Amino acid sequence: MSSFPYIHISCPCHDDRPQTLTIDSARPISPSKSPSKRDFNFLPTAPITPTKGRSLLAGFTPSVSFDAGNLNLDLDDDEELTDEDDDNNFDPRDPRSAFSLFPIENLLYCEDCHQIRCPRCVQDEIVCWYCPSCLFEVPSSTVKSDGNRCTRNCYLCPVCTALLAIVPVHHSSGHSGSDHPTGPFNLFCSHCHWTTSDLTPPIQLEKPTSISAQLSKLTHSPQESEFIRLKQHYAQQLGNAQEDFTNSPAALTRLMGLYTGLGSGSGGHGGSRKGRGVKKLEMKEVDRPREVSEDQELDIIERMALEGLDATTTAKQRLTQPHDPRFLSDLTPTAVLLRTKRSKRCRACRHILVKPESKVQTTRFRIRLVALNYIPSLTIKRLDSSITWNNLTPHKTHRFLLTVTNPLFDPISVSLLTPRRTPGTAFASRVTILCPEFDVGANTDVWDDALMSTKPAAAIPSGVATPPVAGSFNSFSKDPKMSTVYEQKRNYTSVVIEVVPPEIPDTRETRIRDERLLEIPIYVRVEFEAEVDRDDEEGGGGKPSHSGASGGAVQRERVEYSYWCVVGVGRVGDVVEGVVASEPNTPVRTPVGTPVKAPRTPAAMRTPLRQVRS
Amino acid sequence: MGPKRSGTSSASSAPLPPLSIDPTTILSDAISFSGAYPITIGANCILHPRCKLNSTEGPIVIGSNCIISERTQLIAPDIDGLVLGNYVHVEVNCHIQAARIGDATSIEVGTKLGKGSCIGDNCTLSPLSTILDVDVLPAFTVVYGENQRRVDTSATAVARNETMLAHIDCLKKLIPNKSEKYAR
Repeated sequence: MSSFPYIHISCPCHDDRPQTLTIDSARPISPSKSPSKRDFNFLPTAPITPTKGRSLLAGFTPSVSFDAGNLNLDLDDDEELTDEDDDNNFDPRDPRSAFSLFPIENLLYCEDCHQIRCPRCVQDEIVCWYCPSCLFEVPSSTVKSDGNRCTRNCYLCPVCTALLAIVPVHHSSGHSGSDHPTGPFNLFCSHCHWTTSDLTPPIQLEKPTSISAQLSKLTHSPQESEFIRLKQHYAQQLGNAQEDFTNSPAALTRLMGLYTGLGSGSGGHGGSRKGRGVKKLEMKEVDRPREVSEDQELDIIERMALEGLDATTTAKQRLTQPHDPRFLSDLTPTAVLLRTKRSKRCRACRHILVKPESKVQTTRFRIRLVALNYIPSLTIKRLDSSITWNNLTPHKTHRFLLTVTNPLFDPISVSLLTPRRTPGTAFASRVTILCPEFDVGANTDVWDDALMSTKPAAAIPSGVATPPVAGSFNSFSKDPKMSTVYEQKRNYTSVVIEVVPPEIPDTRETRIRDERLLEIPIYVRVEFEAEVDRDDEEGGGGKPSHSGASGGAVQRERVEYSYWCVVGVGRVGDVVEGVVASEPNTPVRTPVGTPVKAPRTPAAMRTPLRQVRS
Repeated sequence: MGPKRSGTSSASSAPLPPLSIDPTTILSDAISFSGAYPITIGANCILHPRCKLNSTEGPIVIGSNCIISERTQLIAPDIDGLVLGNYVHVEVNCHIQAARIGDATSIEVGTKLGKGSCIGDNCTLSPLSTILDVDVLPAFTVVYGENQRRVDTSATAVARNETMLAHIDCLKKLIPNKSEKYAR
């Protein structure tokens, strides 16, 4: 279990359908597809997309998608949806969720799809193979023929896995031998002082170079020779088969026979099939159970009695060796495993997301589109230092500070939406974000901040001072200070999140799921104005001219995207005397079913550039 | 009152324990000597800055050609004291309450030796290994990995002593000798 607090972001690949990011300046962005409309008192104002039906089936509608081609509204459809609200919430406890939740550091971002890409939705391509010890690049053809281990001088200690050094067996104390050490040589582990002289028979090398060639002559296990035999056999079979299929007129019929029954139903070793070429597809000896000679076993037992358990290998040591050695004196040095540098592609659009420098020695990247540079990152802090993450008090209102940091060079407006009660558990905690909509400044130069502070009014983003929308956040107006953001600096904004965990029985011992684990799903929606390349708009298809308001040389467009993230706040502890269940002093939103006036969404108020079409 | 010892982490007013230090040994700045029992250091040793020698419970004897690194604590466990052999290399940040440490033993970074433990000759303790109280390590033992032990048969002891001497020679050029600070 990761230590608290943690914030994991759900990759859109969690959902079946691709989550769309929309660039559309002409249409209002409505929160109608937000996770739980009822909770936020948002009436479905505008566009209903064709994704709705599917998303209901999928159980998730985190995406806000606007398509210019779908202006036909179907409000009835949407009314239905409100009843399904609970299904729309992202459930961090769902077993499926675990596959899509990643810390933001592990995520990439595709600039062409405008989407977060997790390790599951990228495709790895090997740029080069190299030995991590000698940093020597190995061509892939060599890897295919000689295997994935260093074929030069890099060997690991079979006892403790440290790198082995090559030392002369006879220590020359004088200075005469220091320049040109004379053989024979040992492989020596400077960590545990194991040497190849410890082996029975001891291995001593004549030269301090080309260790692999010398070792392969000295050590040979029956397993390796069997593998070589097997490889030769199948290479021969492959040759035969190619001959069959190219030259023989019966090849076609035989090929057809493979698919149309002819005893192939068993899928066995071709024993029942007739015709040439099928007589010896598998190597018979391999299938035979390995013979265990009693003498050999008795020898081993005797040796164990003689040398004791200390002379035997551990399971870890045995697994790294191909020949399953029983005794420490049978261990042979293992060559260093090669490593790869990989480039990563987006599976959807095939664009490269990560491309390392192909030279082994350099650690730089040519392309590296990490999500940290594209999507705002969230962090959570305790507002009250008396809170212990691992022992949250039931029924107590815990206040945390949720900070949204903007990596972009454009100011963004952020909406944080969360289910009123944490989903997926019988013991739901009450969660309230005190200021769910706010702006975050651009990630400008650090010095800009100092300069901006001299011009007061213009510098502060308009949304900050705006009181919350009347009606939906009615109750907060009594305490207007709490409803605004907690802190706002150059490119980050902090808001307060209140959590009231219930009393939860400790089920860690009895069940797989830890009911006391408190995870809050938060739906983050980000809107900003960005300069957009016209070329990219080809796919948009038939959209009317955008952003008349800007009208300048620079094309600016409204960009919006959204994602779910899960905040692991902590574990709920035992009940504390004196803290009793009560309604929180900051009441949660309007009750269910109360007719609410169609809100002018705060976002709409704040974005004068957008033309609202009715 | 002892001489003024600036930079030592022990209380500056506390008197020094009786010291008997070979003149060829290099004592660097800011070594903390504490306790009342005598501390004896042999020839050609290097004591790095900020190592701590505590002889409150018993005497400390260090042989010749030893290196005691920074932030290492040598604490005598009882009245019989702590005895280090020759060619002992104690690395950074060790906590040593052993009774005996044999010749040519190398104690790597962050090792903890329990109270009254006995380490034999030519042993090697790999980084962060732990020896329990009153444990006895036979000669030529290597403690590696997760406190696993094996017997060193590599016969590199002589070579290691030579490297040790070269190491000391190099350190002698690098570390300024502040022996006079600890002289009465």
